[in-house]
Amino acid sequence: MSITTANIAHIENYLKSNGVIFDDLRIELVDHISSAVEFEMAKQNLGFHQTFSKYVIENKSEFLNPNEPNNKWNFMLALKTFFKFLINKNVIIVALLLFIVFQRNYFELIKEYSSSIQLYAVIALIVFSLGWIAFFNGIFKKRFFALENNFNVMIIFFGIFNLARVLTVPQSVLAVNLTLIYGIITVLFIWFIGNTTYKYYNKNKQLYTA
Amino acid sequence: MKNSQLYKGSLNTIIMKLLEEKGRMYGYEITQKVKEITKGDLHITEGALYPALHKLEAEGLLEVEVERVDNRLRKYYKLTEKGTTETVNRLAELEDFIKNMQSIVNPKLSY
Repeated sequence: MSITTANIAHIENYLKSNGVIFDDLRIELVDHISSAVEFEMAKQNLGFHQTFSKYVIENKSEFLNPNEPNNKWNFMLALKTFFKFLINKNVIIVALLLFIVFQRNYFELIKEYSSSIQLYAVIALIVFSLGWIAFFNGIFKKRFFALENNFNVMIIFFGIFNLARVLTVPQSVLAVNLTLIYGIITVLFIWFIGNTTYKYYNKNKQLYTA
Repeated sequence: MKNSQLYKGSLNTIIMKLLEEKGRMYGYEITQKVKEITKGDLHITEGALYPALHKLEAEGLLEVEVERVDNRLRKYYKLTEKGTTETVNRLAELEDFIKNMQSIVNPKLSY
């Protein structure tokens, strides 16, 4: 016994209004609940709303946990994914080339404009982040846990890195090198997020278009 | 899912074993299959199943196929090459664990 499109929309709206905000997690729950409700409707010969209400009462605490438990694990996984990206051959080559070229040719320039470079890196990150958020929230109107998890972790990572950079003596060789590394990591971060988003899109095209 | 660390610790291996046998499965199907095999004794909840599936996917052990079925999207999970190899290792580990537990809990049966 298949439930109707209106019934599916009802389940989806119920989940949305109860805080299941991420599309990738909600899609699975909609299918899970729909399958369970269909099974019970056929077994007990009941209508959709009666069966759905019964299911919600019995299982609410299980499927309405906050979007994805075990945040500590998710944080570590996103960090691991980023480090795995960093040890990729192409990424290492690009990072090294950028570092060598800028360190050799623009060291004094970086030293002189250190604070401006840091400011530009922060502006680039803010613009990228706003663009990213506008893209998913405004254009697609869809949010994906798998992508936001990576994104949030990277923001925290940058916060910590930024703190380390601020604590170094200004104008020192270490401070200049950290500024350079900060700029390179900003480029790699944008590359990483762009790359993971693109790969996720390719693997889950139907989630975007649903 | 039964409130026991023994069951919780084996959830990933249970999922991988089922996928090894069936090829590909969706979430609800996995819960029903486990219920059927254990004659209703083991009930895997959504709160335990989906984070486990997502973790295995993120580790590269599972891959996903999304299809439209009965007016809704369904995510099918299947083992990757790495996942197939890992299933063999984890099952061997679990069998070893069961054998050792058997020797401790019920030594007569272990001979």
